[in-house]
Amino acid sequence: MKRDFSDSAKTKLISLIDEVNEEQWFGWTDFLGDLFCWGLNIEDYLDDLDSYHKKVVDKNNTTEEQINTIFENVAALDSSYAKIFENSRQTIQEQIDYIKALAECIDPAVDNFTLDFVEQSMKQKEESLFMSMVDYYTGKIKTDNGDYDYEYINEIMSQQPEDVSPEMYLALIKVFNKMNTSQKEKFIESSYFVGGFLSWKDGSGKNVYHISEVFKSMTSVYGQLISSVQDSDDSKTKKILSDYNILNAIAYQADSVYVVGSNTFGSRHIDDIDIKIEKTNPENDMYDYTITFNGSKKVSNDMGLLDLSEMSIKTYEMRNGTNVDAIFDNYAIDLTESLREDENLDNAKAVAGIIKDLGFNFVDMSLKASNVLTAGDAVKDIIIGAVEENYNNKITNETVDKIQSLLTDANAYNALAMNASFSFCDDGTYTISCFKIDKKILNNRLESWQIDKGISVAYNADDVVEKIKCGELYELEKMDEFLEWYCTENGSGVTKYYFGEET
Amino acid sequence: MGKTIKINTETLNGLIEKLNDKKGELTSYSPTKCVKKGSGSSADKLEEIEALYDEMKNAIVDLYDKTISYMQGLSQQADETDSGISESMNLGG
Repeated sequence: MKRDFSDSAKTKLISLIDEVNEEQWFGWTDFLGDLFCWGLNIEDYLDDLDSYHKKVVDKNNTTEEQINTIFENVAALDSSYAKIFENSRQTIQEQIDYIKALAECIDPAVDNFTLDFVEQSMKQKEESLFMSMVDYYTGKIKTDNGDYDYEYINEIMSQQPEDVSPEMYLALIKVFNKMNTSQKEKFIESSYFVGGFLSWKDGSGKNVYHISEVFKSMTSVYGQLISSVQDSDDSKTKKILSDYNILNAIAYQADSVYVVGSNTFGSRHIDDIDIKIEKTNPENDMYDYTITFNGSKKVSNDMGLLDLSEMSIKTYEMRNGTNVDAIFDNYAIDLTESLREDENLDNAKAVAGIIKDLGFNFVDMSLKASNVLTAGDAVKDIIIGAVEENYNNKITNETVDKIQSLLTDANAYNALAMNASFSFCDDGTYTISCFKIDKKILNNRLESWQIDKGISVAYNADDVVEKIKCGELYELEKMDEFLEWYCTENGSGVTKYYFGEET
Repeated sequence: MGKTIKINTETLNGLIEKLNDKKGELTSYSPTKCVKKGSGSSADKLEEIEALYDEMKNAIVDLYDKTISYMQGLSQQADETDSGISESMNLGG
């Protein structure tokens, strides 16, 4: 039996209410009616649905308003299913068109079966079919109220990456691009899964959340898709790149997050992972975000105790001109600041003060970043060396290692004339999601270096870009020597041969 | 390399059977058990999809027929070439 929710059925039901109301002279007759018809036994009424409906209406004291609400709810549900079916219909239509196009190619009567014809006619059909599948999946992820079905996203994220179709990956990416930051937060939260509980004796502990492998694959697909648009500078492209930056930060810097929970009386309490994405500086139009987690990357802190701290990752969009060294410098300063927390580290305080001052100078001298960096580099060796000598402390040494590593990397990126979008975790680790190299400037520098040193290497800026993409920069002959030469002698080394070409 | 598709009546029948099953599932599926009809209702869309299943079935059969005709044409060409070669060899001999 199908329930009839047509307009005529609605009118009929309302008229039944009127009839029931007219029959009920007094409240007690309604009560008696309810008493006698508590067993409705629909099977006895299949041939007389009006009587059945009348009984239902009587028993439930149904009002006209309730009927209207029921019909409105059904209509809304029907409309949402109609949209899903319409998506399916379009996809099936595309599949049929594809099959028909195939038949047209091979039809002996038309004699079209040549490579050129097949390529021309089928390529367009294939793309059309692909996009219709993407739209179909996008429609499935969306909900009627303009939001998204996070349970469905969670279901997709729980699958094996190879079981998710390319069309679905593209649909997920399209959806992520369209989302506002609070929707993005939910999307990401739906992509984490609890992987275990680490318990302390007092019942407290941490749930470890892992990012889904499908999420990682989606990030990878996104990276391949944007490789062709990286050089564009318009706002739309910047937004697309910044979304990739966020995905990249999550996939590679927050693939495991420990969230505090409890384990009382044997029943595990799982605290949900909670992610906040906010613009780092709402005042400007930069797509820089701060992503905060209610957890940490480590189970315990350096003292071996349960680490309750939150963690955050900052993402930075690609700026005009080089930006990497400047931001890396600031992170080095922040890390140095952390050394201040140990009261015994008087020298470390001095380090923090000096490097911080250099940082402020840098801000003032914004266009002369590389000079300040070089100055900072010179001072760094002396002071950090002093810290290392005086405090054979694991935490200090690790922090010093990170500072050195950041400053060294910043120097290298600066020497390579690199501009990048990247993310920084507050533990000093970072990932670069995409980068641009000013090849003209880099070629000038490479050439200057070779003339200056009287050497010759068989690579140029194009080769450097390719090697960076493969993570094999240092496989280039004497690359470390070039970087060292640039960082220590760039002031005279390049302009000596290419005066004025640096800008 | 793309997927290799075996073209024979067994494959065709299997495909048609699957389509019929899907259509059967579709017919029994009615999320709101709703028979309300009118422009754009879910019931209308289901009907349209049902009709498309038949269209797809026909399109597949047509593709199959044309593929077979094409293969027969190739086979005929091969025979003609073969007999042509034999003939010229005989003439030459």
